[in-house]
Amino acid sequence: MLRLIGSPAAEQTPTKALPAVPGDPLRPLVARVISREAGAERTLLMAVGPAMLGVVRRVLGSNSPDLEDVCQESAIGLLTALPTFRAECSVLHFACRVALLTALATRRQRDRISRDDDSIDLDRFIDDQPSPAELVDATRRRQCLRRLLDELPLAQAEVLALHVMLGYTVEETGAMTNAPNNTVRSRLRRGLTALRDALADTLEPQVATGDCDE
Amino acid sequence: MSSPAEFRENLAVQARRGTLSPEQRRELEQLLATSAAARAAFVVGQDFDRADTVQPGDEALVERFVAGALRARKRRRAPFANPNRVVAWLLAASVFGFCGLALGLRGTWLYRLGLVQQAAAPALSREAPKAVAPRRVSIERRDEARAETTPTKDDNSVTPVSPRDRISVGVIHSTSKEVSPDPSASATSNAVETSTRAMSAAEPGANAEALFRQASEARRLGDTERAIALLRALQQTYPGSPEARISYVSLGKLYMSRGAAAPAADAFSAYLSGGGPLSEEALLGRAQALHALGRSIEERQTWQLLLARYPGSVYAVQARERIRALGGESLR
Repeated sequence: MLRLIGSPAAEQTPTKALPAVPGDPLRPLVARVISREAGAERTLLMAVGPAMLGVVRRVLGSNSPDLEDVCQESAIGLLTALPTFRAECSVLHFACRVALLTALATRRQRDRISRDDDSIDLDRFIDDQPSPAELVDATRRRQCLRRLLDELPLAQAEVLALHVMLGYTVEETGAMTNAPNNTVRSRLRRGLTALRDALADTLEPQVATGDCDE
Repeated sequence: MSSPAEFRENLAVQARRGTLSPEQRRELEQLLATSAAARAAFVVGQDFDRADTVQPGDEALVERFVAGALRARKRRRAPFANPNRVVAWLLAASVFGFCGLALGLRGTWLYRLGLVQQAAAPALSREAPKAVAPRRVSIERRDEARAETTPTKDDNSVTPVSPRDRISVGVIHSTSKEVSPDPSASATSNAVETSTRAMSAAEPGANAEALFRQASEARRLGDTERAIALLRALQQTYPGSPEARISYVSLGKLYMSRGAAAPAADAFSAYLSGGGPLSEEALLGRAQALHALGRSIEERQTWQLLLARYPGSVYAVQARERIRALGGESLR
């Protein structure tokens, strides 16, 4: 169990009972946050913060100037939404979904010109990484998906981002979005078709399908 | 619960996680050969996995936005959410109400007293006043008195303040600025001893937090030397504090940014010996430090430990690649 940051004695406080799901160490912490235990909010945010940052970075791009602001909004959103958390997925997945929806909303609200700030910093790549040309192609494909997420209906965009961008399975996506698996699959099918078309429209055929490096 | 491979869409996800069986791999190859949409999803997903989503300074970024979120949350909280605050607000409201009532009664009493005195003065000077005369006079006087006492907009907006008053206010403000403790002022001092000494005067918890905040600020400003010194001071002065625990990860990253891999590895190991919410970051940092030191066996063990503890980690792809390059086998 995680110890609360800044309150060593807080572990003795009894926690409210939430449905116990094995394998989720953050679940007891949620009850502490809801009961406004000192230090619980900070402990929870420090635990899920890196994952939320990763999600926001994938949606907005590596060098987006909005990164910190959106992460902060996501963290506030998570704390606000926690009382409605129904424990149908892990706390970490819940936090990632909040971060995803916040980042998607930010992209949709702000000017698209400044959105795709995913410039390539070649210094960050080590020798065994792909060539610069391949990196450029990969960046263009990532930007293509991000633009598509701005245009699709939110439910489809969310499922597509969770599955393709963040790599969640159909079951995990269903648990995170409170949707049946078949609903997730049909949304995903429509989203993937749109992705295929968008890639074909905006990129050369080899770049769209990643054939250039094979 | 159904297995992840029950749906064809999951094959690409499992491939990205490195958990495909040979049979599933063949199934995925068939799927990719026949479905352009599945191939697009697989390729773009790999693009996102390959992108370096972890950058130097991420830990500081997390600390910043967490602190910002907590501050904002504190501000946004309704003032009546806390029962103690409700009592305080009710007490304050009742005190203000009572004071207002008392002032009102006093004003009314003074007003009536003034009217009686004003009405009495002419009455005394006249020889034979009629009974109704004072009443008429009192009504007129009351109107005059109302006109005098009713404040206009101009009365409210123009509050004359003499230059002397202004000067005295300015003096008070400047004095209070000099006296009040200013955290930023202490942050500008260079010596670690100064800050440590300054901090030791306050409470231990607040000191550790302030020291950690100063170190984060120094790191943000690019003053790595000072940030390291402050973190060291924090660890030595408040070894049991939560900030000191977290500071080992910060310290390791700072050492790595300076190319000092050996102390970086020690710092990450120190954090991992106690564990905590940043263990995943610490494992990554330790593995990178060991890589820089050329300690391949320990590096591979660290990557394997990271994969074992955090199979869904964002660093999993990097970990598997390094394990493969080092000639080992990943656990998943």
